[in-house]
Amino acid sequence: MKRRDFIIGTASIAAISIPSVYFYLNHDDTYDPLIAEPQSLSLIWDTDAIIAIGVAYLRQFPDENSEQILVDKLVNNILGNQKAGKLNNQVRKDFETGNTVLIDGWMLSKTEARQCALLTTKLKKQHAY
Amino acid sequence: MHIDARDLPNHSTIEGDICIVGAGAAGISIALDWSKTGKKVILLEGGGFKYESQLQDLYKGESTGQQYYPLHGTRLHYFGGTTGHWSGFCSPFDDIDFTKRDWVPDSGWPISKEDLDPFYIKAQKALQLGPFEYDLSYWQKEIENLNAFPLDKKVVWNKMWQFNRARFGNLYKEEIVNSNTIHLYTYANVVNILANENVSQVKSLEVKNHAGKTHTVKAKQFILASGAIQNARMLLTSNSQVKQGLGNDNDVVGRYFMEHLEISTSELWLLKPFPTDLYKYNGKPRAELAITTEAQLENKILNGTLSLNPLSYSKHLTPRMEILQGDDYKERFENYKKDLVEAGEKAKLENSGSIERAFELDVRIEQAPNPNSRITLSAEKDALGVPRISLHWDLTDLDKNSIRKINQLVGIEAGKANLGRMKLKDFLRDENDNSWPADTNAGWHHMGTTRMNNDPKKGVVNENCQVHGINNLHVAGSGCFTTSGAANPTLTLVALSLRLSDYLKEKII
Repeated sequence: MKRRDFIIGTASIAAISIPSVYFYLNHDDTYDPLIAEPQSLSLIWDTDAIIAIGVAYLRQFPDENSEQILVDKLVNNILGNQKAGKLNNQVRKDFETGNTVLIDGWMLSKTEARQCALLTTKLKKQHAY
Repeated sequence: MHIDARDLPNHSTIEGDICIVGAGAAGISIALDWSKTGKKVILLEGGGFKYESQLQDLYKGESTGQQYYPLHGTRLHYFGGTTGHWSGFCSPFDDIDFTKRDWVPDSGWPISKEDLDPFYIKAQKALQLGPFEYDLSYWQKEIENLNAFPLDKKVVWNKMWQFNRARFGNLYKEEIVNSNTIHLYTYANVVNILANENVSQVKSLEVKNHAGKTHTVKAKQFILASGAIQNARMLLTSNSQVKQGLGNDNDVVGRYFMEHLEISTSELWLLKPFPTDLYKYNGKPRAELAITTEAQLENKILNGTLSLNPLSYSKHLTPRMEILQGDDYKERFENYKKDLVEAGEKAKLENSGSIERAFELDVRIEQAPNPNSRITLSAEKDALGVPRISLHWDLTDLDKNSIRKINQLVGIEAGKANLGRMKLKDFLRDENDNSWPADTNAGWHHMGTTRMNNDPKKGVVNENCQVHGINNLHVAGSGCFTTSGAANPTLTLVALSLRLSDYLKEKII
């Protein structure tokens, strides 16, 4: 879903793939940049739509408006390596445990919504948007 | 046999063993069920064999409360009744619909689904549907590609539907007109029901037409089968002997008017294409996503389903509550059909791919029984001198909360299964918002105005559809529904009518 369609909420599915998030991100990250890529949502939204959700999330949860806070909240409880991959399990677990949020009407896992916010924060910092 | 009541000498007396008022799905089903009994069946129809504005005008009324459709636009006043424009959606009620639910005020029928099952089988035939089979597993063997979404079966199940736009007027006219035992009188509008002195038995009916003729109808048993609104109206207007109307000692007649709320509530976006025809509306049996009894109980919600429609199409549709307003019946339907065609054309242009991945979810849900949602008599009278009706359609917080919760449950399950993500419409997002959008849609399913309850203080008819206190007066149809269930009413109202028919056969034959 592209940003314009996403906002009016009436689009059909266009070619959907998130342009590589890596393109936008620095290479000096202290965390795996894939953490900022909500894998499931990238199957239905483009980057602009994900950022729109990220912006809305941060408006709803202003206390989390920090890259570090978001990273901590996303990976703190995940043990071992390949933390980004393990976030997919966390997304599913969120739905199972009711750890969900409603952002612009979308029923999302808290984890994937935070991933949207992290990408948004990251890009804002880099003045990419 | 067919008799035009306009051609009879004025003040004729018509007599038979059983008199059925109304030749729609309920009335015709009962009449045909009696055709081989050797008894004389009087079938009264207010209209003729086709749509006539003058007759349709008799159904006009006013409405207050939640916006509703023009009352004369949701029903048809000629032989075949409202089957003349119905969509043919059929599915039986669920077990839970008949039970007493603590969180649903005034719920609980005096009969169970089991009591109705044998008559569902007969109703299925009357409506010329397929076998009385509503299990997904049965249809998966019959039809290819009915793949179900991998959702938790403890929460969501697939409620199957069958479809046939059975136009009773076309299907059964010949059989009825050629019958020796069924005497069909057209242009015979009941304007008054006259009871004996202590109002324990109906003596006769007074019928009128626009030709200025008035006739009397006598029978051993009477059945009102003119739809939930008109049945209540006939009881209320028959107030020459009892001020509040017949069967209305406890002020229940006309109350508990229920509809099915059919509203676009959310969008479901699938993460990957999911090849299936299970949720497609293509005339073949299909499923809607329904909420299990356990989940309804746990969440204290009403029974409802979500149907899937391709978003590429649905998003172009004008809300029905908007497009089906206006006075002219034909114009309304022309506009409606045009809107459907245009939406289809726009969807084609968008080319959403061979497998749809985005759907609009439409809720279909029972309305909680509510005594304030009701039919009363208006001060205005129709051309035959009968008071018109006034509808006050009143929805409750339970209705709204249930719609929200059903969507949330499916949204969560879609997430758990990693099937997709759901987006709620604006009016469902705020948990504290109990308001209703102006275009809140209803299915034109009128139910509950003569509800069934064995306690005369809580119902108009008993478990045999007999009006409390009047031993030869019965009501057939969805007005008798105690609760309205999630499924469209026609299959159930025909089943209930055939149950009444069976009961009366035992009583008379």
